[in-house]
Amino acid sequence: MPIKNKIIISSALSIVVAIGIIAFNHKKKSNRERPQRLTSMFSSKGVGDRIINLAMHADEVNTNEELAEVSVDISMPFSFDSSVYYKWKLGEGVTLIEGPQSGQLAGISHTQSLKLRIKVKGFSKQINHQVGFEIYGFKNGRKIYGDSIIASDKESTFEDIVQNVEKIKASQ
Amino acid sequence: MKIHYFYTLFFAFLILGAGCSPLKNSQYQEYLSLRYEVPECNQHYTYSSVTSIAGTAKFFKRGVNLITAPELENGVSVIKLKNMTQGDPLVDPLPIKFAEVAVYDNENKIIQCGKTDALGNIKALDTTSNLEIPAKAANFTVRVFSRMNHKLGVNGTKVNVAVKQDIYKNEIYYISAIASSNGIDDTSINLLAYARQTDSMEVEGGAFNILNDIFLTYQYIEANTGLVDTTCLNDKFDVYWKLGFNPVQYDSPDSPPESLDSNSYYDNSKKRLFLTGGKLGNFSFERADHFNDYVAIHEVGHHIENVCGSLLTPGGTHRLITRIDPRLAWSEAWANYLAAHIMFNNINSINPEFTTKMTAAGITNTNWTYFFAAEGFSDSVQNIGSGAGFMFDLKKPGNNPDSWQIGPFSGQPFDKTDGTQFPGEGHFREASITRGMFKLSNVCGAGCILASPISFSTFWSAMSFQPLPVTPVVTSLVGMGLNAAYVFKSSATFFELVKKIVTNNNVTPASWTPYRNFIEPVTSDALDLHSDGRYLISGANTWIPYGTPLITRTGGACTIGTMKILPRSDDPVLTGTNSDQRYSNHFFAIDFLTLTGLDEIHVTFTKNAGTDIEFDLILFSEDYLYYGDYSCPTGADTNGSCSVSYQASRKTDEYMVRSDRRSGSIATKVIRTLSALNPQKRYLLNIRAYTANKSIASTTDYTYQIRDQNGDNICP
Repeated sequence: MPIKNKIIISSALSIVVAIGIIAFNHKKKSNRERPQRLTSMFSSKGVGDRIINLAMHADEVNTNEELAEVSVDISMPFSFDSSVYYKWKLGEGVTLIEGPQSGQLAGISHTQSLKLRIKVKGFSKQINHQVGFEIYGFKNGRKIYGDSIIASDKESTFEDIVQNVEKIKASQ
Repeated sequence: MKIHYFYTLFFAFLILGAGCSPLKNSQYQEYLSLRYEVPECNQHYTYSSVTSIAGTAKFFKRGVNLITAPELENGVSVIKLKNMTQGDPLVDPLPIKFAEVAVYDNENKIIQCGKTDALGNIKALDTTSNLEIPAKAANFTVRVFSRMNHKLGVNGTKVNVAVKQDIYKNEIYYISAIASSNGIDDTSINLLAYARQTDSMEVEGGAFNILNDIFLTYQYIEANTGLVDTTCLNDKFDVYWKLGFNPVQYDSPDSPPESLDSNSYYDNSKKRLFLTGGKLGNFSFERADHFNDYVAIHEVGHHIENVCGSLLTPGGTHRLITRIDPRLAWSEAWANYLAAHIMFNNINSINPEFTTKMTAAGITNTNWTYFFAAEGFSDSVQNIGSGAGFMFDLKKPGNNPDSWQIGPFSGQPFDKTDGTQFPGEGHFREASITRGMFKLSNVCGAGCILASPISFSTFWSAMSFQPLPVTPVVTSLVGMGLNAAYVFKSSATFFELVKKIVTNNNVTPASWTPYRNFIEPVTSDALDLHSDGRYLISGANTWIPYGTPLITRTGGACTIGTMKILPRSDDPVLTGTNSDQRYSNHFFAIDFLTLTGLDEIHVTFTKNAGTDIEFDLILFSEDYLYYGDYSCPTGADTNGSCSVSYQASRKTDEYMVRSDRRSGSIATKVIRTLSALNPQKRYLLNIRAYTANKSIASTTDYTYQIRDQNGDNICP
C-alpha cells in the first residue's frame, strides 16, 4: 500500500479514535451523583426518577403519505412487577393509524426488554415531525418514569447542530 | 482486487468519520466562529428635509385555558381553578414596549434609529417624537428588535436586555416591514410578531413575550423600591431562546437529545438565561417556555438575585414535595415569589384575557395567585390538544395545599407542612416559602393577609445587598445579598431581616404581631421564627436556624440557653436519598476571624429521650454540596438515576474540610487542627444525627454542648 494511502487511513482512524476518547471522557465526567451545574432548572420531572430506559426507532420514509412504524424498546435495570402506564404523544401533522395511543403493562422484567409499536402517517423526512413516548409506574412509595422523543428528520434540528458544532470544536 | 479492497476500506472510514470530520460538515461552519451581536441602533440621524414613519409594533402570545372543578368551601360548592394549559393566541396582540427600532434604506444601510413607546407606537429614540426619515420617494425597511436599552424612572435604572437566537451567531430576533414613502406624506406601518407557527415559522411572538416579561419585572422593581438604588439591574442581560430547541443541549452536547429533559435554566457564572423552546423541533407536547410567563420570570428572578444580591444556591433537583437544602429552597422560592408577585400585579399587561376567563368560569377571586408551568399547548385552529401543565394556588394553606396534576409526582401535595409536628419546616420547603412570601405581601382574598401587606420594597431590602432601611441607621444591618455577611443563606435569615425592617430594628416590636400571627398558625406554612421564641421550650432551644453564627466563647453557660437536637426519621417521601436537614441536622456559621485561636471543636451529646442516635461533626467549606448519607452502590447513570436501591453511606467528601464520622456510641465528637484552615473563608459546622435507614422515635431528644480546645463553651 502506498505511504500516502496509509497516511489517509491512519488519519481517519486517529480522528475516529480521538472522537471516541473525547466522548467517553465527557460521559465519564457527567456520571456523578451531584448537580452538574450551579444553575436553576424548572421542571415537572425529577431526574432521579427517570429510570425506565427507552430506545425509540422509526421507519425512514420520505413522504408524509407513507406509513411509518414507530417503536420503542422498554427496559429496566431491575424488575418492576407493578402496573406501568404508557402514552404515545403525537406531534403536529402526525396521525395514528394503527395501535393504541395509551395503555397499561403488568410490569417490566429486567431480563427481557419490551417492544411497543404504532403505525403513523405524517412522520417523514419531508418535514421534521416528532413522536413522543411517556411511561410511569408506582410501587412501594417509589415512582419510576421514562420519556423519550424521536424526530423524523433529526439532522434538521438545532440539537443536531449543537452536537456537531461542539464535537468539531472539541476536535480542533 | 487489491485496489478494490483499498477503496472499500477507504470509503468505509470516510463514512465512519462523516460525523466527525470538519471537512464533511460545511453546514456547521457558520456556527463555528463566535459572531458579535449587531451594535445597538441608538443614533439620531438628522436630515434637512424629512417625513415620518408612524405605526405600531405588537406581538401575539398564547393565553391559558382554565381547568375548573367544584369544591366544597364551608359546606358550599364553589368553582375552583384546578389547573391551566396553554391555549390559543390572545385575540388582541400586546404592544412591544420600548424595543429598538432601525430603519434601513434600499442598500441595507441604517438611516434612522428609534424605539417603540409604552403602547408599541414606533417613535424616535426619545419615545415621543416622530421617527424621521429623509424626504424622498423610496422603500424603507423598518425592523423592530427583541432588544431594549431603556431607562426607567429617575434613579438611572435601565432595562438592558437582548433575546437572542443562539450562543454562536448572537442574532437578535426582529420583525420587519417595508414602508413605502412618496417623499411628501408620512408613512404608516404595522408590525406583528406571531404566536402560531402557521403564521410565522420562527414564532417571533415568543421572543417579544420574553422581552415583555423582563421589562415588566424590571419596571415593577424600579417603581416599587422607593429610593433604593436598583442600578444593579443595568448590566446587559442576554437571553437565549430558539423555537423547538432544548438549551440543555448546550450544557450536555454529548448527550443524546432524546434523553435530555426540555428545560430552562439560568447560568449564574455567565449571567445568561436560557429558555427552552421545546425539543428536537417539537413544542406542541414538549415543554417550551416562550409563553410560559411564570417560568420566564422565575428564571429572571435568579438573575436578579445574582446581580442585586447573591445567588448562592447549590443547585440540584427540587420537586416541591420534600424538605431540601435551605439554600436551594430559598433561592427557588425567591424566584417563585417574584414570578407570582409580578404576575399578580401586572396580569393585564401579561395576559389581559385571564381575568375575563376566570369570571366567565364562575371563579369569584379572579386574581393571578398561582405558581404555573405549562407543557405543550392546545390550539383550536391547528387542531392540537397536547396542552398540559401543573400549578398550585399560593393562597391555599400550607397544611392543605394543591397537589401535582401531572408527571411522576401526580397526586402528591406541593410541600404540605405540618406546623404542629414540624414547626419551622417551611424554611426547608420551596413551596412553603413561596406561599408565605406571597400571602404576606399581597392582599389577594381569603388565605392572604387581609390588610397592610408587607411591601415589596421590604422584601427587596432583605434580599439585596443594600443597608436595611431602619432608623436610626444601623450600619451592620444589611440585606442578605451581601455575600460577606451571609455566606449561608436561608428563608429564616430573610424573614428575620424582614422583621427587623418592619419593627425598625425592634424599636416597635408590636409591629410584627400581625405578621407573626399570620405565619405561625397550623394553617400557615410553618415559617416560624427563632426570634419569636418558637423554638424555646423550658429554656432549651430545640432548633437553631440554619447558618446561625457561633460568635462567643465563655467559661459559663451560653446566654441563648441549652441547645437541643430532635432527630427524626428521614423524610418518607424520599427515603433512601435524604437526611432531614430540618430535624436531624443543625448548622452553625464559623468565622475564624471572630473566633480567634479556635483550633478544636468538641461537641458532647446527652440523651434525654427516645431512640439511641450516633452523631457526626462535619465542617463544610463555603461552596459545599450536601449529600444525604445515602449513595448508589453502582453509581448514578447520566440522568442521575440509581438503577438499584440507595444504600446508607457515612462517607466524607471534598466539601468536608474536617469531620468526625466515627461509628459507635461516642458521646463527644471532635474536629481538630482548625487553625490550619484559611481564616479568610467562612465555614459551616454541621451537627448531624446519622439517621440513614433508621427508624427514630418521635420523642427523640438530645442536648448538646459545643466547646473549644480549652473546654469553654462556643455560643451563638
